[in-house]
Amino acid sequence: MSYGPANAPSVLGPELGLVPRDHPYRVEFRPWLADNTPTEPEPHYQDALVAFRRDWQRTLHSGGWAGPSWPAEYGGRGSGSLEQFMYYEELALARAPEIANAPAVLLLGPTVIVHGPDRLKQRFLPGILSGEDMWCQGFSEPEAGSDLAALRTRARLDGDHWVVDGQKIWTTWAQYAQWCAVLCRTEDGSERHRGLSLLLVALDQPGVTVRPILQMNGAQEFCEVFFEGARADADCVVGARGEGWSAAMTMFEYERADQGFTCHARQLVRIADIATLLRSLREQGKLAPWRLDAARVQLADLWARAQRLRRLNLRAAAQIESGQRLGPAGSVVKLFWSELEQDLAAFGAELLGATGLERAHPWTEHYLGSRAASIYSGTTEIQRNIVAERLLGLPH
Amino acid sequence: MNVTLTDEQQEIRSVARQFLDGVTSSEGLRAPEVRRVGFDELVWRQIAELGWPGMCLSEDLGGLDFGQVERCLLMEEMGRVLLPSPFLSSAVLAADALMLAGSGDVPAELLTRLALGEIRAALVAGGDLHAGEDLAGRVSAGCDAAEQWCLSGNGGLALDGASAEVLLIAAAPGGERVGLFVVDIDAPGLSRVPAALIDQTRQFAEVRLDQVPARRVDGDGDTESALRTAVLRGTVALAAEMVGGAQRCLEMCVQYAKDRRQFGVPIGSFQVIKHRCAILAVDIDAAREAVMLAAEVLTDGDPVDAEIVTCAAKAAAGDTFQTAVRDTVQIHGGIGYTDEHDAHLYFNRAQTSGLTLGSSAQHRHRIAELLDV
Repeated sequence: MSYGPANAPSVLGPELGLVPRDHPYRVEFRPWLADNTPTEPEPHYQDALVAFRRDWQRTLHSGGWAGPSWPAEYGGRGSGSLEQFMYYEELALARAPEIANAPAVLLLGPTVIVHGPDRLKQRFLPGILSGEDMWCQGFSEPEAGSDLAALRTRARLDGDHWVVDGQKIWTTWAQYAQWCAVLCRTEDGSERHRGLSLLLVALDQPGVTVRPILQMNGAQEFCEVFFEGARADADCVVGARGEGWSAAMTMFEYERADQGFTCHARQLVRIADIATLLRSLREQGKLAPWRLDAARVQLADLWARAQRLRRLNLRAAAQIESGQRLGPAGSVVKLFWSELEQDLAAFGAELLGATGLERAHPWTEHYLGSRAASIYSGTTEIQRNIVAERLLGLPH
Repeated sequence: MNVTLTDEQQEIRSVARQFLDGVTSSEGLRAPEVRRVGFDELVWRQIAELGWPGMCLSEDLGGLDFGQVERCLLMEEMGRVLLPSPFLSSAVLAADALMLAGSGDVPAELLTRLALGEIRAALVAGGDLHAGEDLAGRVSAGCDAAEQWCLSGNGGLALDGASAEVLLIAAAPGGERVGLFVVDIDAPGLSRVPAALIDQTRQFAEVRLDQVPARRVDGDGDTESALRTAVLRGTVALAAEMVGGAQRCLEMCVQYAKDRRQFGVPIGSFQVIKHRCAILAVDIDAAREAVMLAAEVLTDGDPVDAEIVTCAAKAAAGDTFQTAVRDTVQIHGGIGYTDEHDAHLYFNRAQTSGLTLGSSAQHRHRIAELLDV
């Protein structure tokens, strides 16, 4: 796939020596994707969309292509971060859907693999990867958003069960999940980030109420989750009891890194789609000269930014591959990615004209959805604080 | 391609930083000689001893045979300290033009001297600030009565055009798009008029030619494409220099924000200041990656890719340097607006560099063309 003329740049950009187009990993994955990627568009309605993505996750899993980063003993491929970089580029080029259980496959599963204990790995990892068990993350609360350590949900041990009380919010797809990873306070008298534990709690029980939140884009991805005497097995603690903050930080680190591998390729494919639209509008003479000139330059800028992001991501992948931690550089990627996401989504929708205002148009959905990109996974403001304080050393 | 720097590349960078920190200063940037000719002769001789002028020339010409990445690392370091130097004009633009388009004894001999830093050359191509699409610009080449080449026209504002000891001029001979010519600086009919631009650390001069005798030095190959490649290499080198300038601006801002106290606290504890610095840090990080990518592709990548990523690098560096210098003046408040502070030196450099070898807007326009939208 490339832009217009035969000698034009390819959609992803220049050949990168570390992850070349003919790398054996790509060469193995590409034909599998060609044979197995669904050709129909993703359903508009959410229940159908989740079912569709769950089917896709099962397909990937049965082909051995779910969870590339997971060790082989847990059903993954044990791919290094450069291979993951290629994995997500190939997925994007094939226009493959996302998987239903993405947060758990990308964040919770790898965190359990790192922090253990073993019995939780055996019990939960297979269901996460296959998509049989859908998971959600109970982190944010009404009074604990950016300031996560202010959370109030508590759990106390009652015999061989935890009893959980409190409220979570912005919990993605809790209405489809059977399980929730709940960050809560378990140690009496503890404060802030000490004395928290990451508990794995079943949602299908009397003490749990899930209430979806209608969003500005018409979807109901986020939910409120109420815990009123909900119970969890005493051994359902990721890592050590009272050390939940450390497990949560591992999840955040995966979140930064995984965005790094997943984010730029889908954006580059989208930019190529916008370029196709722009070319056709130009050829049909549908844009006034002033509009065409501005649009061409905007598209060039988006493309160039996506190339910078690709390169930042490759650097991140190479650093992780060589055993380094990403640290605050993950915030650089999140900031760069989320701003680009919003700008390209807005540009695509705007270029469509009135069609771009139709709620069911996928680009409109993308545009509305993109407004959340600077809020979730750490707001832009928090990420900038991290860059300023931890990368530049400015005072707290 | 490495993404992260190799040990050797890190060594090049740290040696350069150490050397440049030792030979540059705020006072040095304001020296009368720098204002007059655009560089410090003594520092240039030291640079020649380090072999930098031959960084990307082959060993048989006396060069060090490095790629574009290594030269960009040097340029970034030079940009950090705003080094007033003929490096870009002579060791990058002129040397590469001659190396890529030149053919025969004259270029080889000249390149050997350029590699050693014995002579300083300047390239006249692309008209004002080397930014025009047409390499020959308004310079045409013809033959005089003795069947010798002679050049006429206005070469526009050329980097170090007045201080160079020899000129390389892109000119259009009849029936051809462009050829490459060497002109001696004492040749009759040549005039070089230094421009009084705002950037006191870098000199440009208008090169006017009226029947100036010249030697043609390009061979039978595709001179147009060879010169375009040379210009792209110069463009990525300048982009690297601009990233270095932006990086130094960020460092000045961060330091000032830590030191300067108002309302009883360092101003760097205010989020408006912090976030301005963070935005800049992200932009600089990304712009540097754009430059390194372009340098790599220019060294051994596909030619179509090379042009588009170079355009992307210059546009990113241009935008980032511009933001950096504006923020630097703003964050430093009153002192940042004085002549005494260095902020204006960076500010003015960002203005000239922003236009030299094409503005960000120009490069985005070219990207759009290459993407066929």
